[in-house]
Amino acid sequence: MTATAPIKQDRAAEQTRPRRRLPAWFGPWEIALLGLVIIALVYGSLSSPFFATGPNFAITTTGAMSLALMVVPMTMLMIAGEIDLSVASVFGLAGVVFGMTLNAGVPLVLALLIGLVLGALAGFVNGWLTTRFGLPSLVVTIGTLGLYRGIAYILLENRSISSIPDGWASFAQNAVPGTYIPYALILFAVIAALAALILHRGAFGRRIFAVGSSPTVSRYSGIRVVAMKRSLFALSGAIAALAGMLYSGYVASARADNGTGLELATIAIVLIGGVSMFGGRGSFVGVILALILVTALTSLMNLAFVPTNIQNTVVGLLMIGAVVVPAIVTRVRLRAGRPSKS
Amino acid sequence: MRIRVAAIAAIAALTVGLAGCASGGSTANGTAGGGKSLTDCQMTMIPKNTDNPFFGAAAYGANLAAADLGGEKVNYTGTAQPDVPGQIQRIQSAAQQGACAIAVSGLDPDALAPSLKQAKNAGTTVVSYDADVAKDARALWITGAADQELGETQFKLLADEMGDNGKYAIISAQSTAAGQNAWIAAAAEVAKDPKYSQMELVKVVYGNDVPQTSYDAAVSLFQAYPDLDGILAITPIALEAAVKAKQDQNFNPNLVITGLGWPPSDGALLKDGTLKSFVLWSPRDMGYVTYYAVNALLTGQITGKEGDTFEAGKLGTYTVGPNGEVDAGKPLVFTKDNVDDQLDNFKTE
Amino acid sequence: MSAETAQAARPAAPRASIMRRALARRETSLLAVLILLVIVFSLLTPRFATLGNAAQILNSMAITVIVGIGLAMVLMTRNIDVSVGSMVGLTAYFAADFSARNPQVPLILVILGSCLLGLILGSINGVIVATLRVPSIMVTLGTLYIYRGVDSMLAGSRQVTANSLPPGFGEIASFSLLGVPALVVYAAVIAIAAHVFTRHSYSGRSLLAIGSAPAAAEKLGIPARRWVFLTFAVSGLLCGFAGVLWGARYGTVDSSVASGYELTVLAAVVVGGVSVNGGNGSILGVLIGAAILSVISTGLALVNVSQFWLQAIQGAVIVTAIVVDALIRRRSEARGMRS
Repeated sequence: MTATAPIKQDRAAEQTRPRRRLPAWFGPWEIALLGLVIIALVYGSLSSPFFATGPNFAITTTGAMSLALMVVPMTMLMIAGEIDLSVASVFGLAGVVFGMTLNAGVPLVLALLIGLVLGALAGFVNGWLTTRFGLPSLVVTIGTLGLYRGIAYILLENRSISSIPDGWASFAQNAVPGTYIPYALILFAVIAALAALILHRGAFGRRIFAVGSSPTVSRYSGIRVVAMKRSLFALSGAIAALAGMLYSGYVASARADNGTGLELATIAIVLIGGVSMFGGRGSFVGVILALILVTALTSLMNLAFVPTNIQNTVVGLLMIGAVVVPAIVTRVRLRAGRPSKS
Repeated sequence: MRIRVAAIAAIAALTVGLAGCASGGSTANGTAGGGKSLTDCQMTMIPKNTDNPFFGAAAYGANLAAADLGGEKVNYTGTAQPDVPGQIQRIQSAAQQGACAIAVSGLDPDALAPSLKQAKNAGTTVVSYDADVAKDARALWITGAADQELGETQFKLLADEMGDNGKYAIISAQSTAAGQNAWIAAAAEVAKDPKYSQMELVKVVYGNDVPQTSYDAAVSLFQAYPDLDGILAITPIALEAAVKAKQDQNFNPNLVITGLGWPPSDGALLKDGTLKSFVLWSPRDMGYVTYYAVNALLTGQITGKEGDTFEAGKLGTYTVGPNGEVDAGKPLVFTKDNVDDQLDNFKTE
Repeated sequence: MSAETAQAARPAAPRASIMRRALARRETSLLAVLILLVIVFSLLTPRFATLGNAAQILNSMAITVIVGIGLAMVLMTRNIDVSVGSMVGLTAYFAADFSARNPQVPLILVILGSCLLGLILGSINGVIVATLRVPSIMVTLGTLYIYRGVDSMLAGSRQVTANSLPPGFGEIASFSLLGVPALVVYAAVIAIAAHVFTRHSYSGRSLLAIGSAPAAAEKLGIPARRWVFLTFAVSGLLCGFAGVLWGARYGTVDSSVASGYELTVLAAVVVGGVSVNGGNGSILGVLIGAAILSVISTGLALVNVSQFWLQAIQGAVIVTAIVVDALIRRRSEARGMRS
């Protein structure tokens, strides 16, 4: 059996695969991420006795949950070819409104619902502006980033609300008694699992990928692109609001500037997870792995009191490595005459 | 293929989580207050941001105290730029690793409270310095000088130079900066005195402690109020920006500028006559007293209630005021005559 | 049908003239928005329509124009550069710190050195994006973090203040040429050069071609990768120049200079009609976009609006501006299709 036969088969298979702008590296990307995660976890455990401990797990994951939540809808949006830079502002605005409604005596559940509806509305506005006028979502959400954050400042100015109910604060900060599993992690796991199922199993998920890789073809195929995008934006807003309210519980206070700058970190993690900025490519597993990787790295660096400028540089190198290494591998493979693995 | 990878990833994550549950955690040790001292354990000092010479000078002062007391140097750690979640993470890292004491300059008094309280519950002694946090989250608050006095002194410097007469504006830091807000309030109180009835505050603008924003704020003040007589810039960045803007725009040469200054950078402005005076306190003394205060709490000498007294090495005896406030010093007024002597006090290493 | 797909569906030759008309209209509509804003603010406060305020508006948009031109050229090729803020910050600190420590070095050398550093930083972006063909968003997001981290490691807690810089340094930004402020002169020269390049030179026009139809551009023999690399390098170079100007204008320089500036520049450029999907945009658009943002912030500072309303109003105006622009564009395209 010569080496040429399998290559010919692969080449044929490659030609029938739908052409994408970037080579499709699904398996290798996630495997590489998993490898990095394992390396990070092992290195962390070796470098600090506090790393692989229950309390560290609880503390680190609780702190990462607001960011983690926002990563979920951002993944789906970006696969659909859009982006939402206003998530951190909705985060802050929802926290402010949440705090103010609680302050006014509104019961917790109602306040949460109000926040979610507000977030969904804010997201829907993004979606409406994008689809109605054919504007790039990057542009629209740069504007709403300022608008929503600005509204938060108009409402609360430079004050802070510190009367978050203990129940909610406890939910956001603590773990299930007797274990080190934070309540917030359970919430995130449920949402992430649902999103993963929708994205990778359901017809809706397939449509998201289709819309992301080719909006025109999707439209002609009868997919209601506009409705889908609007609902994805609304979902992004609602979950950003949830994250913002969760964070208010975590710090037991609400302030207009909560979460400033989080949109960059959210996008960075989604990108490291292998989702393409141009849409149509990506996997939830990759994003979750990227989340774990960045969280683990941050934790081990924090335990070592590594200066944050070095921490940020490491994240930057990770981002560049995430694109450069596969590209180099692909080139080496092509040069060696073997097609890139799928 | 993807499903298999997903499964592996899920198992990996679960394993780590369960492993975490299984192994015991190492939490902060010790009883709260009593029987310990900084000679055998380390204090963690968390500034608002590390890329800031002011906090570097405070840490330097704390280490001077360490030398005098014969104790451990401080673990000076923080985020390069102000970042609330980053501060929370530092607090958590310190508490997890059993730091016996944490001194923090709070970016957000309320947001830090939960993590500080968790540290307290784990046995860590918590104090705040420079910028306070929620009172029930810390045992003491060591401030460089009392807010009321700082606000008054700055205002009076401005009023004196303006001849108690004219329109002035205030350029502050972030709108959420607690210290600056306290000084603005104190200045407003003093301004009510009939002696200053001829002075009019036209606007308070926020420069966010960023040179660009502060500069643009100053320029917009010149545009909006061409007859402006004075600017009170209550952060060194704003002070420098106001001076530069005045020069660049050839604005009224008689415009009075004063406020908070940083001698190593702004001393030259005094010496060449651009500014007559500005105010600060000694961050070094603040750090020095913080160290000794923490030590006193650890040894059980004080508990932080009003009236407690403790020794702070070369600086003498200090008494705890209401709400756990300790004033490490008084506002210092710098002029061209005294700034050089003081420069050494602002070293950061 | 969205605007972009409608454009892509038309054949190449007549497309150029329709596109030119659409572009012209686009700038006209933006100009209309700008004029409207100026009128509104002039009515709101008498101090807006003064020469001094006009100078302030121009001055505060100048640096954004300079960096924006580099960013616009990158965007035209369907790439993005979000590391501009970090590049400005790093070069600003490098230039200011170097000059403060070595006051005897002629300032022209400091400026050239800063530009060179910027060129190197931009080239790193360019090399990775062009040769490895990887998404520029990830590369430049990575370098955003890396360059800022390096800046912070370099600077630490040091601050370089205006009075520790040699006297000429500040003058780089404050002299006037025949009454025109220095910053405006620099921005104007760079804008004119860039306009001539992108509109009237074959290489410049190929930038838009690379962005709107990469495959066609390759077939036409346009060395896309070389141009993509060059746009990133130029973006870095302009950031290097902007870094010196920043220190010259604002005085105090530390590791936080230009933090978040990439969003400001991006906003100015996209409001100015430069499309993030490539293939669309002009230098004139950058000017108008930056002017719109500058008019808003300067105007709001004069009107006695509470500071807490500023950000919301700015965001609202940005959204309104792009929506209005899109509406006008749509209508003119419909007209263009019929003709």
